[in-house]
Amino acid sequence: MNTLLSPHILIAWLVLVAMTVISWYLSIDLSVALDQGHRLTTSLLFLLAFFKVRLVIMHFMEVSTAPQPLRIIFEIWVLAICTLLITMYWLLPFAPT
Amino acid sequence: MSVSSGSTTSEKHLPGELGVWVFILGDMMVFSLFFAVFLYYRSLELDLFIQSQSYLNIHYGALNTLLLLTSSLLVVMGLQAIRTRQLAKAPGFFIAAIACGIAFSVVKFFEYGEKLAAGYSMLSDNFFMFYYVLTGIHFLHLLLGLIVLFFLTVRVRSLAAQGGSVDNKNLVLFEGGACYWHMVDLLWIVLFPLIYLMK
Repeated sequence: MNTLLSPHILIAWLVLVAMTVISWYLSIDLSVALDQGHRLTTSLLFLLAFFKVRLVIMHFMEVSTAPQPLRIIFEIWVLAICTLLITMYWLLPFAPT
Repeated sequence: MSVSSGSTTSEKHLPGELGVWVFILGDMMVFSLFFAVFLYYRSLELDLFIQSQSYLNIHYGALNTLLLLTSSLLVVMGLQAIRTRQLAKAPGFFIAAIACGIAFSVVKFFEYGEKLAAGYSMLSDNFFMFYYVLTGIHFLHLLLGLIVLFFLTVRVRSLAAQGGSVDNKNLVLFEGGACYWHMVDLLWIVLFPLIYLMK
């Protein structure tokens, strides 16, 4: 019997859902206390988001079993954009007045 | 991924066609630019962005994320049905994925309607301009994705009726369409924290 839902796909999806729920919860927490910790929490939200993006790319879009050049392009993109956005987030804004 | 050096068979497989990947990468680059531009303008009006963001309902955003994640899972399963020559099962999965996409759209309409009724339009401030433009452009991509999924559903049903096999020419269509849908999913995965959650 050919299974339509391989274990690694199911696990990927469960991780994606769990991370979404965690982000959801974290941000409710965030809006309650806008102290210094909010920068770290927001950075974590970005990291979680790009970890999820990478899961979708590698497992749902099957880039992990695609030719190496494509995989390299996507790995670089995930790393570069995640780094760019988090760096911009930390460097650009000044402390809220 | 393990590399079997010197092996005669390569397990590397490019889903879909190269053209689809060029499109996907290009689209992701454009959205990456949008993300960066958003962060830049946000830094110029931080208090305003945080204040305006508080009028958004993060539950809508989270629900939409879960809907798209589930729809992607269903598309993966539909594609798997096609690959394992169980074509008759594929339409159900694609239709369920379309249903998730329609549910996303309903939430979106509801959400936009609420914001507009409360007086927050694209012209209200820069945050709302970005909110409507970024989620709106994403939504257009999603609508296109629904058309693609619909087309895939019709095609797989017709192939199933004809005899239940999918040649490579057709398989790349399904793979390409599926990858486009996953792109719609992953773009929202970034948009959700970027617009709704970050402080």
